[in-house]
Amino acid sequence: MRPGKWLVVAVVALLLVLAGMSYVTSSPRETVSGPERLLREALAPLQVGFTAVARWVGNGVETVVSIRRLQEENRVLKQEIARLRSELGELEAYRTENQRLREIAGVRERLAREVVVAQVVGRSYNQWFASVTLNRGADDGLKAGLPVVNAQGVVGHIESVTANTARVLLLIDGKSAIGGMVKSSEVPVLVEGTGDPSGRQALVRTLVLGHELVPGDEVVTSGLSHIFPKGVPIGVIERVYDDAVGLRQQAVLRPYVDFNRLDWVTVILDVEGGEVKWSPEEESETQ
Amino acid sequence: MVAGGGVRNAVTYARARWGFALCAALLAFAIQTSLLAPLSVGGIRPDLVLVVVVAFALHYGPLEGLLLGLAVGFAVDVYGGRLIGMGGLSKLVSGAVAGVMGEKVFREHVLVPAAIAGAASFTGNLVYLALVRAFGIGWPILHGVQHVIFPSAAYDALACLILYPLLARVYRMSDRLDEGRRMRSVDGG
Repeated sequence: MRPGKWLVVAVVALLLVLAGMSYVTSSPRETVSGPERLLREALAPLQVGFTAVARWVGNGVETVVSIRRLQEENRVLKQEIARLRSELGELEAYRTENQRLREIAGVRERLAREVVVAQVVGRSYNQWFASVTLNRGADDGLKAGLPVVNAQGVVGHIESVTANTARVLLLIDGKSAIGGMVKSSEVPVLVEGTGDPSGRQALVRTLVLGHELVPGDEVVTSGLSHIFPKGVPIGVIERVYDDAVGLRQQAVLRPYVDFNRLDWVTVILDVEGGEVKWSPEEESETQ
Repeated sequence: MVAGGGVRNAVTYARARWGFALCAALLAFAIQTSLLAPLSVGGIRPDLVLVVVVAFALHYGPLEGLLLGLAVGFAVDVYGGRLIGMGGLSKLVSGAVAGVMGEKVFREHVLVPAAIAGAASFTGNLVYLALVRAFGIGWPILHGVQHVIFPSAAYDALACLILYPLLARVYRMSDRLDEGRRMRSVDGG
């Protein structure tokens, strides 16, 4: 047989073998032949290594390519964060404002009297006196002696007015004295300021001999002084002790109003008559 | 005649320093009674007007400090409307104390003006407390010292630490203006 013919036979045989192998392996198989296993096991570590390198290089290239895009995205995102923060701040301010307005509306509703809402625009210069200046004055109907409250309770009373400002003597000022009563027993007491700069305490003196004050007693206005309507919250008794003579009790009262955080207050123009239904706890619960 | 002329010259050529000092005190007062409320610690706020007086006293001496203290303290009293004059006396003492102390120490060190402001605040507030008690207002001394005078002195010292460099610069600028006016007057004369 000539060499050319051997070659043809070999090619045909090879094709037949390949066709046969293709036929045999054309369906899914669960078994793996020895050569297949050997090849796959030998190549697997290399494949893992190459794949890792390829991924690393690919990532690097992608990073280099996308740096400008990322920088741009970063800039846009930073701007977006700043904008969202700003909006968040605005929303927080609106929420606070809304709460204030609700408080003011609540005070108006509870009082059911003619009132003027005013903003605190100035505070006493030194720590020895406790007074604030309001942005409303005689032109708005304010006059000396009118009571001033906020959502928490008694703030003080107007000491003096000009056309556009009013000076309020705060409950905690050393010269302040308000007629009050223990809410539960209606026993009259006198609530006096101590001049304490922290604004966290006032003094309570009983006006009834033998009556015992108890820590936790809530004190409200009695209405007897004709400055405040009856029933406006003043504070809660924290500590009780005997006076110097030992005849009457005195007590340290923690005012409900935070005098270091005063901003908006309500001046009651129509003082006379009736009792105010006031429940700051319920009010705060609803907010 | 000569003495009268000297005083007139001193007033004429110290216009800028007094103008700046009074403006600074006015600004300090406005800030103190409005913006500083949130910075109060236990109800205590820094006395910026006192810092202005102390800086002035350190720069120009006890007499000037005393006069500025009296002027601005009195003005503040008038604004407050209660115990008018007590604040003037208190600030007068603070200004004088700061001026005298400033003459005896090396005041260029940053902590020295602060320490002097603390001392001036302490003395001035102590004088104030003593005076108002003399007028029948029964603020308890121990409570006042513990809860007002000491914390105020510390806060005022801190405020002075921050503000003194700025005020010293303002006063130096006013010195240059006054000196310029004096030189022009001499040249013209």
